[in-house]
Amino acid sequence: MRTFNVSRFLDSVRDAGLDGYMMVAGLLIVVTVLIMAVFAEFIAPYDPVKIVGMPVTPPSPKFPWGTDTIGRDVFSRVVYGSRTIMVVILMSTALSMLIGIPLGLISGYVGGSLDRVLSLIMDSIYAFPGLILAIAVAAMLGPGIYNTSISLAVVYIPTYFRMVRGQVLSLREQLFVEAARALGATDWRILRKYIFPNVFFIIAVVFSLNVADAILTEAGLSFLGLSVPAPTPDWGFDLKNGQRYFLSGKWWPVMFPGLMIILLALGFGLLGEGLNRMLGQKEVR
Amino acid sequence: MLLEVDDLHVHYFTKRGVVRAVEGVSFNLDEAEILGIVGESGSGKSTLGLAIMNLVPSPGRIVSGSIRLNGKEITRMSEKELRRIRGKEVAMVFQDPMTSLDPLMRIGDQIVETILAHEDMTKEEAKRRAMELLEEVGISRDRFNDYPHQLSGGMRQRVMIAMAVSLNPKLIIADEPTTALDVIVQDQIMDLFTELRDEHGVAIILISHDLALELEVSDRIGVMYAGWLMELSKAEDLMKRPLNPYARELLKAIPNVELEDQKLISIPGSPPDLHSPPPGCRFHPRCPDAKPVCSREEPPTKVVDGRLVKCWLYG
Amino acid sequence: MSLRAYVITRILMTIPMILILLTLVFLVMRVLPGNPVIAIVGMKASPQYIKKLEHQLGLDKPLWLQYVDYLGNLLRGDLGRSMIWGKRPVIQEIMDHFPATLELTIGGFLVSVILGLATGMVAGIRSGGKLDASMRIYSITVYSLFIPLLGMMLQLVFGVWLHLLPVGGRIDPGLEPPAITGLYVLDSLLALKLDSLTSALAHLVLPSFTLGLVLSGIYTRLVRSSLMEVLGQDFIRACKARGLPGRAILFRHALKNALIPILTMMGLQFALLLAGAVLTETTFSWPGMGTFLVERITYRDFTTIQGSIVFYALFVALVSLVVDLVYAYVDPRIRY
Repeated sequence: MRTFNVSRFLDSVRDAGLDGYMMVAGLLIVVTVLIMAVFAEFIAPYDPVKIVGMPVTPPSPKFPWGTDTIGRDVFSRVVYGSRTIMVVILMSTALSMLIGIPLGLISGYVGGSLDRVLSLIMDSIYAFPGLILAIAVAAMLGPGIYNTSISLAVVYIPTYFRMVRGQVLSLREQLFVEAARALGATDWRILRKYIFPNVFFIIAVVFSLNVADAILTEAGLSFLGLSVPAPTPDWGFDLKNGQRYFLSGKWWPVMFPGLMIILLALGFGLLGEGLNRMLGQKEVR
Repeated sequence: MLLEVDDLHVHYFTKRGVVRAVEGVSFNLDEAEILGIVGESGSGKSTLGLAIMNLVPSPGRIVSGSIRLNGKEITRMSEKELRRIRGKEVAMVFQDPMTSLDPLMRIGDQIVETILAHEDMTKEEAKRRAMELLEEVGISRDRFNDYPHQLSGGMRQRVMIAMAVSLNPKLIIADEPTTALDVIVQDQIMDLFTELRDEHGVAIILISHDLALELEVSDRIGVMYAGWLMELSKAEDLMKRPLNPYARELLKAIPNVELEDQKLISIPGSPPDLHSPPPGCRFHPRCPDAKPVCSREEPPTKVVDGRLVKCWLYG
Repeated sequence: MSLRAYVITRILMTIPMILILLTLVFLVMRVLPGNPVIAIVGMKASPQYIKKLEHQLGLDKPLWLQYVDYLGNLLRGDLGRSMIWGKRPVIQEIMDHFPATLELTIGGFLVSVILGLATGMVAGIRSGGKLDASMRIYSITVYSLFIPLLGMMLQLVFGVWLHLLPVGGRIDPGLEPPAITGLYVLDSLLALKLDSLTSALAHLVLPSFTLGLVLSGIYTRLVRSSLMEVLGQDFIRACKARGLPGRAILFRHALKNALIPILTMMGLQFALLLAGAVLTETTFSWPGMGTFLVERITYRDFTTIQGSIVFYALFVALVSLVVDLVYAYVDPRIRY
């Protein structure tokens, strides 16, 4: 087991140039928001659902990011909001992977008419506008953390399915898999020992890029009022609430949650893009 | 003298280091002469061809040496001057006719485009000329509006040749022009090249890995190995008495139709990795005649009986 | 394969896709846990009323029969009637709102393609350089821009501070052109009403730009990688060897070839435009399908929600069909 060596890690980041820096920047953003979500109780100065001041008070030492339309602390709501979006995103992604990855493995490995039917279904869902599909599911299921997670999960199952299936198809033809099969390895053993480990890295990349997208979709659902129910702090919904004050120059209830959405999506985007190239380079070497 | 190449060095600057793809190559070429350049893949023969058009792809670069075409120095030309020379004075025919034509443009239009890029002509005149050219290379003029994918490999190579001769260049560089084609088509294309030389006085540099083919059509042949020009001789001299051991081994490797028990002979070993070529003569690890000096010092290029040879046997 | 065979196969291939999408909508609307009727009338409604409504919507029938009814009605072009207000046919309601969405998506599409082509070409030609790096960052950054926030900021700057452009709506009241296509810009042109045209265009600028900027990053990426690949191909080197001018090589040969694979992905891009349009419309009070759908969700107008989603599905299938047919027309390798 090799121990983690900081200076070697920094060297490899520098060697990767732009991709390395992008990955580190993305990682920093994601970790920061993750810390916010986990330690919300210690970071937020106020209860996010309590009215603690006058409505729409500008930022001041007492309320560093001001108060929202009914007098709740914007900073505290943003901090707790990170928890909402992170929980939804992680649950939905786990669900998409849980369904999409095994289906993709099986479909790609077994092939034949099962593969054709599954691919056709997945491609059709993939072609449908993601946010609109999520809206439809969310409208039927009603608001709530679990329901929102399901709505998002439905949208991203095909992404994982397609990626895993494509990888399996190309790996299946490769020499080491052929060799294992010739030596009499069972299908399950080939999947587990040869194909899954090879697909794993690609999943890491697709995960990051896909989460970036899922964040924007969650924020969109929440902006449309279709995510978690009312008093729960949620960036997209808070942004929507502040909208009617925004054009009269009261920017803080909108700007802070909005910038957090962008920052978090950007963080995962940079992470995925950087990882993609760095792993890609390794394959060539 | 149509073309004079003098002590040419072309290097590729890759992440892993410098690849010396062409090193110290010199030769001359007369009008209406066919010069064969033969060597294994990676010997630098294609790079040499591209260097003559100053088209070495990045990260490659002509490091030193001179290339004079009709007395004009190509290595010091601006991009604009080069553009005027390319196609007009030197034309090139590439290995793979499948990928050397724009798949989205009608073949006739591609010929017309080439003509119009160099000649002051109306579109109609250029079109008439393009149709004549197609017929000259043996393609019916109703094929003018075809797309490349509608033609066979041999026909596409004919189109490439029509394009190459469209501006009456003095020199055509053909880089493995028949490698991607089947044997019968190969002969037809080769006939087309000799015809061009005989009727129009075009000089041709024929780059190939196929020594048998080179011996058939070339006047002189240059043998390249790992970026070096090992020998440059008249074709019949090379066939009768190769000077350089590498050339000799190449000749031995040609399957001989007259011999009864066919044994395919190939030279043992493989060409060196040009990131770190062996010291001394680059061929010495595979050379049956290697002497101690071969592994220490680079052999000089000597003139022996009017032939160029780079080998310690003649040093 | 002849072009005719290609067109026919492609049209036939659309049928399973439509069927799958319609089934998916059915599953979402009828099979997901949660009774739509209770969602409509709330928990407190009397059981008799719920029964009556279920019967009215056909929800008391067995599921397979509901499915058959659903497909049968669609085949006849019947999307049902709205459950609120005038109880108008859903198809009419959709036709009232769809042109606005179409106009916005066309605007957004143009903006995204123009920005994406420009940035992607710069990156593709200068691949590996500083400009390439900045274009890669551009592509990731704009894609992360949250449409409502971007839209509001543009409203604040160009609408409130600079007074240059309207902050919402499709046109100034009273200037609506006579309805011909439903696209205000086109209709004003057809009716030769200049004041309508300027007003419609002015209203279109900010929403189109918001939508287009966010999606342009995808084109940056696609154009960049496609152009880089084409520029490395043999025929480009052959073009250089023939002494063609650099400009001609880039525009006449490289770019044309690079755009073909991008064209094939246009269908998926269009789905992204439609999704983005929902947020853009809501931000700019644009009276299109998106605002309409979200509004009806708050009223729990079940038939209208279902009808709108079905409409989206059909539209997506149509667009992907059209994209493939255009592709066949543009690429001679398929055409002949």
